Amino acid sequence: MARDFVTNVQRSRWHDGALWFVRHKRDVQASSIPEWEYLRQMASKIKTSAIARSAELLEQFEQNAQRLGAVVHWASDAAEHNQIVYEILHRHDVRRLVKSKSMLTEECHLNGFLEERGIEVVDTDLGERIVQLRGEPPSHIVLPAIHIKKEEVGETFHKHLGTEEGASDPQYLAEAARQHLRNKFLRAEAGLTGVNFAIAETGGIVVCTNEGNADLGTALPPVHIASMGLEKIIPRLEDLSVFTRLLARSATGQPITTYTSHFHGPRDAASELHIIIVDNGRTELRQSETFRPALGCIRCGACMNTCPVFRRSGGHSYGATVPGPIGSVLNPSNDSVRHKSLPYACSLCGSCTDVCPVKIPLHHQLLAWRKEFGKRGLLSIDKTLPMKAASLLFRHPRLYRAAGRIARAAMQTLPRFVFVNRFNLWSRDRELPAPPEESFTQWYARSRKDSGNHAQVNASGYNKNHRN
Amino acid sequence: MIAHSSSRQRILDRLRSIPIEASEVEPIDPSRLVRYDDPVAKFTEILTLIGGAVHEVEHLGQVREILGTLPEFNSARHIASLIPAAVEGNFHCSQVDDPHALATLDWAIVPGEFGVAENGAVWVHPTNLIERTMLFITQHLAVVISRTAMVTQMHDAYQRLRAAGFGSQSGSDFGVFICGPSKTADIEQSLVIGAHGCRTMHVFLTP
Ligand code: SF4
Repeated sequence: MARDFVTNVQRSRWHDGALWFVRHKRDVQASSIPEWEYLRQMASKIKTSAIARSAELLEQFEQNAQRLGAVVHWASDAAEHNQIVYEILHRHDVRRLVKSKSMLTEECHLNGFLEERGIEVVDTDLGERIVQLRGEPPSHIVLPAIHIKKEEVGETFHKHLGTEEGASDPQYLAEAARQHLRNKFLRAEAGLTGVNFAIAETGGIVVCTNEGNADLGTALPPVHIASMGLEKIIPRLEDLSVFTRLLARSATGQPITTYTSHFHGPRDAASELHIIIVDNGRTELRQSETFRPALGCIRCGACMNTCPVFRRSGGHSYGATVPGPIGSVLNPSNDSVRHKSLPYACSLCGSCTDVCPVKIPLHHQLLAWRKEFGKRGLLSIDKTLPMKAASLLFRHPRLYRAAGRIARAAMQTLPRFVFVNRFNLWSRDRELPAPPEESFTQWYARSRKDSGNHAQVNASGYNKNHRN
Repeated sequence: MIAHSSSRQRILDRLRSIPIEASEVEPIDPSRLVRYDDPVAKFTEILTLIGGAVHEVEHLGQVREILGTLPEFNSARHIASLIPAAVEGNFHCSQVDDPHALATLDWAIVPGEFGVAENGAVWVHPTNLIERTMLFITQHLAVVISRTAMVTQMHDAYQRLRAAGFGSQSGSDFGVFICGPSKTADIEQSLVIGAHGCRTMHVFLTP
């Protein structure tokens, strides 16, 4: 997947640019609030404390939600979550379900499960509807269709919604989707939403959207199912102030989402609200002191927008529901063998950590995973052998200098295929820089002699042989 | 749901299996928060930027006058108003009990509780399902608030909600911050106004 994306240079550049644009909007919003860093600190404290107290807070939440007339369910894993959803729908004879954005139901692969049981599931977030019609998973947690071009959306809509052939105007296409989905909203017998925040103290849940789909999908049909990861719990109503100020600014560079809806209990006495609290690996993650802070993630997507690897390789390259830096931290905890390559894709630039609104030390955690894999004996020989060799060289300066001389000479004289071949994964779609004529030590010694006093580190002179 | 209570116990036991120390989180220090000299001006600036329209009026009659200059209002067939003193409306919500009956609604004119200067959002607190559905199903939305009902930022907003008892009721309740018309940028990051909710949003600020 990563390979297809990266080798399509134009698409990779375009994707990179689109995300950088979002990252830039985030910067503008963050700098418009003088207390931005204070808010991040508070968000981090609130989450840390909520994760520590989760048992007590979840019980408090359950009690209050029940008092308001909601039914609270608990699911240990994805299968149990899906079964609970199905049972609720089955009990009400629901054939048509509208869903607003919920990464949790993606994680649980709910759609396929329900469709096999004869229930029509319609994702109503425009981006999610696009990928759903194309039979793809979302490639980003906030911008699900960021990898798709408008011409491709046009083709998909032409095929499924009957829009004009060749049409690619976003306004026209979005209007067509509005009409199509209006119809789905009006005919739906139940609505499912995710949960951005669950308030222990009140028993309410908060859902943030721009499109208004969560609101239409829960106001019209009499059954509302809200699926939440257990880490969504926050203690008090006031805590929302911190998170609502950070979320949309970090996610898309808006001061707040268009709709920030607070649901307390079912919509009326004749309706039902079911809240499903899901574990699916979260309690496991919480056991680890190192990775515990990752549970504080509010799914804003900022770490993806800023990540140079994500921007160039696209969300599908990660082969997991949550991609990007936070995905690379979360996924190995579910399946460390399958996802062990993810923490290595990271260049440790640290930009994700800088933008994260809840101050999750993402790049430190990625490094921690690499150590963890070493401990678990999961490293392959192409990682362990060079590491051992490097360690040997670094411990023996003479050997190191000799190796440097040989490498420089070899790279200048030996043919390219010796270095760039199918055994060297690094060189796929990358070129080696031209080797410098001399090492830094040689250059330093020479410059000192030349100038007769302290060497001025002349970056351009030193880099004269570097192509980039 | 008794059937799933074993998972409930398993999850809670797991969460309690290792004690994690939780430090007390201090309340937000108000002295560190942004203040604006003119919150109404800030509110207007932000909401306008986001695609909403803000009108300062001196009396409710002016709401009707301003709406009357909009082609999308003049061509509207179904108008529901919760503020008859401003706009009379021709769609009488008290006579419907199924929210689907609102499907053809062109305009909704509703009261808001207060505005938030920092982000241009308005808190709307419908009292029943029909009023709630109206906010999202209508093609165009007008919200009327007093310009004296303006808080600086979200901390003040939630304090105000707490003071009003939001979240401590004994039964169902729903409230929403609305900030501008519904929108999407899901097709190549091009902003399109009018996703699933309203296509335009007008806020009227009364004295
Ligand atoms: S890890 Fe931080 S930046 Fe990344 S999605 Fe989560 S909250 Fe946002």
